[in-house]
Amino acid sequence: MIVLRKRSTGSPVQGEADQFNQMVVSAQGANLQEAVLDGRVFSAANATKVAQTAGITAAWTGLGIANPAGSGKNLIIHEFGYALMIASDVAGLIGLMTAPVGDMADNLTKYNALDGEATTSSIAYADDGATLGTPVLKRILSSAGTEAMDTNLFPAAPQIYYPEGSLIIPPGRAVATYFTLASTACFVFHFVWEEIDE
Amino acid sequence: MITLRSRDTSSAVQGEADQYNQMIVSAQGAKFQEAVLDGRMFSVANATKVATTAGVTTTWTGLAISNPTGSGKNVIVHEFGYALMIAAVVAAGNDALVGLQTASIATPVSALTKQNCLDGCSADSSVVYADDGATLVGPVLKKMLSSLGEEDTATGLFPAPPSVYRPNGALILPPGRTVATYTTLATTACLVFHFVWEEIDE
Repeated sequence: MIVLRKRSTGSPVQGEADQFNQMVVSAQGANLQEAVLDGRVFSAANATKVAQTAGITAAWTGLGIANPAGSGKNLIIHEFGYALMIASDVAGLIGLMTAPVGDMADNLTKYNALDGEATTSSIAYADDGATLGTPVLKRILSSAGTEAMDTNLFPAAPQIYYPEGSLIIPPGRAVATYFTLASTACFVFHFVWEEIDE
Repeated sequence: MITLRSRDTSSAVQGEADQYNQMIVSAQGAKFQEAVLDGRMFSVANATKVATTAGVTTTWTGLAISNPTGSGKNVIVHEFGYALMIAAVVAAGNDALVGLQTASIATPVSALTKQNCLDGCSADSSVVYADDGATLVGPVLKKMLSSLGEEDTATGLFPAPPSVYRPNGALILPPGRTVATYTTLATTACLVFHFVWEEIDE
């Protein structure tokens, strides 16, 4: 028998099972809070709207996170957000591609998810333009048109993709935004990621 | 009593129960990260927009993954994504439903490149075949996910939350089975799809 201490009374109680003999538990807390408190989670965003390059292309602009070769870390991509700041001049598909790091550099400010804390321990690069290695389209997320934003637009549900651990960037690899066609500066993006030892 | 080691103080503490005698736990981390680090998860996407065939049909195009007969694996479909690259042109009507059908494929082939979810690592251990066109055997419509019309994407379309469906374990392909995209009506090349899946021993 598993014996637990009842939080409300301090008395010993037996752990219990459901009809399928599975232990019943009560999962508490947010699933990233321990990683954040441990200083392993970071974010980056474009400071303002950025132009997009067309499709799966090595000479790319948007927002990307790179894990430099030899870092000794894996990057777990936890969150990707996208939204238009002004109307797009072209219609297309929004997605994520991955590639070898190429010449991505640490050009954008990263933030510690434990807000205000240092990011000196982060090994990731955040960049808004670089020449990547050969990219591959990995995730298909949404579409955008050229509708003017001063009409017909109300706030929508958050445009956020949670990979839930299914997108991990090892050393030497990068994740970058994808859009079908080259656009003028209109989109803004963010990433949230965790850095764990290999 | 269950005794744990406190992460903060290293001292021994007792595992606790709530008012319903349920053990209080803290589930941390992303749910698939251990499976990815273990090399069991893969993905595939169309490289560009594809035409789709009409309804539950045997002569089919879109995106599919197949678990070949005798693989010794079950394939847990964790994620399906879909989006328009350009406005849809529907062959014989003005709207269509996007969904998933399952079937078998007599002789599946691996026509598309699979990707390891541990990015850049080999997908050679994957048993799955990914394809964008095949002859399905006995397809059955299983999941109704969304609808699309012929609205020009140049107007009337703003970015929406991700068009991503997570079956949460409710779609598992044993050996010999296939999951394939479905649209009510045939479309010209406009949609792009992706799948994410895990391969576990039978």
